[in-house]
Amino acid sequence: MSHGDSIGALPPGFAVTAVTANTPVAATEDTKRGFYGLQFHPEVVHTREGKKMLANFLFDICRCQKSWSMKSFIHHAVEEIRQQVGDEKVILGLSGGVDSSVAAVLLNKAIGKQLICVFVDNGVLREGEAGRVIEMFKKNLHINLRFARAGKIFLRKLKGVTDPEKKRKIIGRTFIEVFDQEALKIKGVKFLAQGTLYPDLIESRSAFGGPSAVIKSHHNVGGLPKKMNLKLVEPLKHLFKDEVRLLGKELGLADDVVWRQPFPGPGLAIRIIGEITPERLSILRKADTILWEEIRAKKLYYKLWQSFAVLLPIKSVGIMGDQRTYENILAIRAVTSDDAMTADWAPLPHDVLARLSNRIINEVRGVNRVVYDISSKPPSTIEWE
Amino acid sequence: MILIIDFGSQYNQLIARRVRENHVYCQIEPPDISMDAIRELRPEGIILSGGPASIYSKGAPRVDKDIFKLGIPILGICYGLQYMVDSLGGKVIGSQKREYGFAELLVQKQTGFLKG
Repeated sequence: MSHGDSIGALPPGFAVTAVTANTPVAATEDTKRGFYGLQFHPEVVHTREGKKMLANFLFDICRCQKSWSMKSFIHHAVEEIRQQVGDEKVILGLSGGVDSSVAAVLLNKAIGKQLICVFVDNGVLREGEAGRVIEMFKKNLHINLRFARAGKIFLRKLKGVTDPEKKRKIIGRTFIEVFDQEALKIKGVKFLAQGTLYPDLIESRSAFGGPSAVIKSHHNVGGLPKKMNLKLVEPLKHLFKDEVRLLGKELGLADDVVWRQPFPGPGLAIRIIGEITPERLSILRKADTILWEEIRAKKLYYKLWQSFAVLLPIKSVGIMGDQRTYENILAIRAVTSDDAMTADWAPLPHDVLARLSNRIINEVRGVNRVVYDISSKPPSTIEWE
Repeated sequence: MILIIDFGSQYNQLIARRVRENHVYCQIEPPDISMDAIRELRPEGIILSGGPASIYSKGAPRVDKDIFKLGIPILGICYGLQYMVDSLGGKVIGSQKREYGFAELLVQKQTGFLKG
């Protein structure tokens, strides 16, 4: 129970149905008119009673049918998209993440070749990421995919930049420029599709502003809609994240995509502390690949919210063979979380940590020390920058 | 479908997910939703959510009282219940003793809504 005000007098027709020591009206009802009230939150009650009450309301009182499923959603969504779009062209920025991937497959089912996906290689992707996206969407799913190889542009702009916020801004801005250019090459586009989810929509118009009254910036592809006079298509805007995953599965997407760990928009740029250089990117990519392989081999990937490597801007002394070394330090980060609002560092088994350290130091030139990050969020953040 | 009126509770998305886990579609809408828009959604029931405001405070969120004339079941939670009580002629008072956390619920009527 968490409330200040309480019921002084019930309206006519209402009866008390439950009390607590300090709350004379904990539950009340007027069955004749079908009005029910609770002075507590049934959705956060940890026992089964809360769930039962809600089910009673839905099925016994409101007589709802159990008709909501991702199968039924697909049917409606496909119709709706076709109606909205007609025979016009739609562009979608594909990131390889869950939301844009599921949106792409759903739109592809609805309008096929009218959908043009744009994938931007920003030069700070994980090893082989671009290839994986092309393989899956172009070769396997036959989705219309345009590929903007813009790595050099991004890296040129990031040269000499060490401030994390500046890195994020540069990457965000450059992404919009590159995406705009690519979009302008396609003639006659009328719609921009986005993988906006329901929480974004709810929070953007909440009566009280909520914790995030502004739509997240990654859902906002700059001034493109205005400049090109594009209308928005947001086929996932009434779905929660867990529903998007179910939808992806229903649409035949692999677990690999549906249960993919979140990957930040600024990519590896915020996992290299300090300046981003091609050499440092290469070191981090190799270490990241080893981490990915080991975490997956030990079947830990889906249990962890995120697992990744961070390249630090400091060097330390080591001894390899008969030689003294002076090389980079690499940090491993692995966390568990339900929603990224809070996260705990994951107690990875010692043998996994040992193997990671061993493989990274032996196989990645330029790293002679591996450390494990044992900080939770809060007070630390999941990403280092 | 179930319509959830958003009075600002941090648990609103959780209610919505609980409803959908039951394979029932629901939508969360702000209190200023019009009666026409509500009718268009054709809800089978309405949930009035909780919220941080006090019912008699200035700027407390309100939804059109005609929802009580739609002839469909309505469930009020915390602020939503107080709004319902106030709208239908009851009285809400500031509580002296606050209950936070666990409190034992003594059910006096084991039928219908509180069944099981």
